[in-house]
Amino acid sequence: MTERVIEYEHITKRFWSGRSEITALDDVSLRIGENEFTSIVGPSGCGKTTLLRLGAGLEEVSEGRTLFRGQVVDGINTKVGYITQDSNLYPWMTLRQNVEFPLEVQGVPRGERRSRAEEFIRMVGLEGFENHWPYQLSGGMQKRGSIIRTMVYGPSVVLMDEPFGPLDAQTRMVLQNDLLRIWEEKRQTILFITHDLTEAIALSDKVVVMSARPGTIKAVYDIPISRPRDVFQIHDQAGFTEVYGEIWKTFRSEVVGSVDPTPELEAGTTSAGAG
Amino acid sequence: MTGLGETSTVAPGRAAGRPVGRRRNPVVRERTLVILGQLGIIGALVLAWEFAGRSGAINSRVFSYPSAIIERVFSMLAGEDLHGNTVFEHLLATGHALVVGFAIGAVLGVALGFVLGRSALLARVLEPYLLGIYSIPKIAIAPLFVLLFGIGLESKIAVVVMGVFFMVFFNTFAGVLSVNEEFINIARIMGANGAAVTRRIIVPAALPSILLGLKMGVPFGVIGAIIGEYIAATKGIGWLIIRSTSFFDASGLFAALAFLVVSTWILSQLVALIEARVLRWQPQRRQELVTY
Repeated sequence: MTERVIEYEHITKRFWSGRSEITALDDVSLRIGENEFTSIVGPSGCGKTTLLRLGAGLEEVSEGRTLFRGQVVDGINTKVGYITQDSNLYPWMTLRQNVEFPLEVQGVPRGERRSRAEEFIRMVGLEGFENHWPYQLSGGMQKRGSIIRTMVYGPSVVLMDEPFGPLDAQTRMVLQNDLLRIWEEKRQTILFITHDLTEAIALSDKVVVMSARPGTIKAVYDIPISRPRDVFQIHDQAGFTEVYGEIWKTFRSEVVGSVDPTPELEAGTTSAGAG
Repeated sequence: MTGLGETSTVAPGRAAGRPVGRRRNPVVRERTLVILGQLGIIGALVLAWEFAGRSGAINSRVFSYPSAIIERVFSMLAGEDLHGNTVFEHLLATGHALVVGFAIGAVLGVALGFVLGRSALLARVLEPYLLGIYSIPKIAIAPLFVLLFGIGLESKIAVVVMGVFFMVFFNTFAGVLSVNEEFINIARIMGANGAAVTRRIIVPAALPSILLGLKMGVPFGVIGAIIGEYIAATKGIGWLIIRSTSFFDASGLFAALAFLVVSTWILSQLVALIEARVLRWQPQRRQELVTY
């Protein structure tokens, strides 16, 4: 087994909602290995985002502990990259200023900042838009900007929370492809949250299926599809149909049984299937 | 392959689906109609006022009439002696108190708005006191300032500070409170320290509200300066208004008001211009500049 980067040990997380206490995560244990691309799928409200925020140090556990490279996560974890569902580009900075921002706060000299930002802007085809304000960019472009803003400073671990959720099916596939290309070059450890099973399989080495609330780990699957992968042709690649069928059996029971069935889930899997 | 079907958004305000090159733009036409309508109303009112004042239908010693007022405006511009000072000296006296008071009120308002915006506990502790002070009418508290600071510039400045401070404070506070927490989280994960988060995230995120507060602070500051001059002053536009009233000089009163309105408008436009420049990262800045 590869070196463990993130270890969730018997995590339980409870929230107060008004006067009642809700258990979001119930005794969750999970290990993320170095250079692995792991996806977590699960119905809405199963606590997968909470798991990610624990890794970034944005939440505290009720029980158990989160380890990052052997150290207990206590406070903001500046060793990871964190990409949210909304692109969250800073609206008062141009695309270039956004991408340079992490380098700026980390004290990278101006010249190097500029050239590294330009390299990543080119990598995702945003050249010519460096001086645009975020509101002048389309949703897909903003999303690319948000991804390279994290990739540019080279965190060895990247946490991604449904980053392609709000995008249309075509843009989604283009961005999944972009992400795979960056990952194949840099080989960060990626923990990726999604509720789209096709997306999870297309991108990942491992897919973790979570149960409906209170969230627990149902099963972990290795994805045997060879790399490099072609997201646009993922359905034709050897092993896809079998592994999809196997995971779907587990996943389906959770989705159907969950209190809050998610229409997006069905839409996500079938529309991606049409591509 | 990237960039499929991606374009930047089209400049706002341009209506889609119309053939380019046609002269009649519905947006421009509507704006023209609005302006013509507004001019029509003011024109009719001025004409009616002039006629009523000259014919004696209304008491011209109280209401004066437009041509007499315009005459006085020109006479004042030419340096007419108004109880010992020209209109410019009166404007300068008011402006002096306004600028100093505005600066003090704005700095205090921004500072306290920031501190309370980032400390929910302190904000809750101070809330009743701040609301209490805010609810005191400025005209009621102005005499206290006269006792404290005497007749003249200082007490006027104090009333201006009262007016400006609360506008700036409330807006800054609301702006800082509403900063998207995820913006801050992302910056901290990227390694930004407290100073960088404040300077690069919280300040710019709260800037639209701060500038709104400053813009609203201009008329409130003017009101403060005028009230200060009503209560205790030896010159200034507010003092001139009171003086003209006690001398039954209606034309002088209206002319002084005209100077006051125009100066306030210029100040507001200045702040709006600064705002438009500083907030150019926001969509639709230009429209707001026009509607103010």
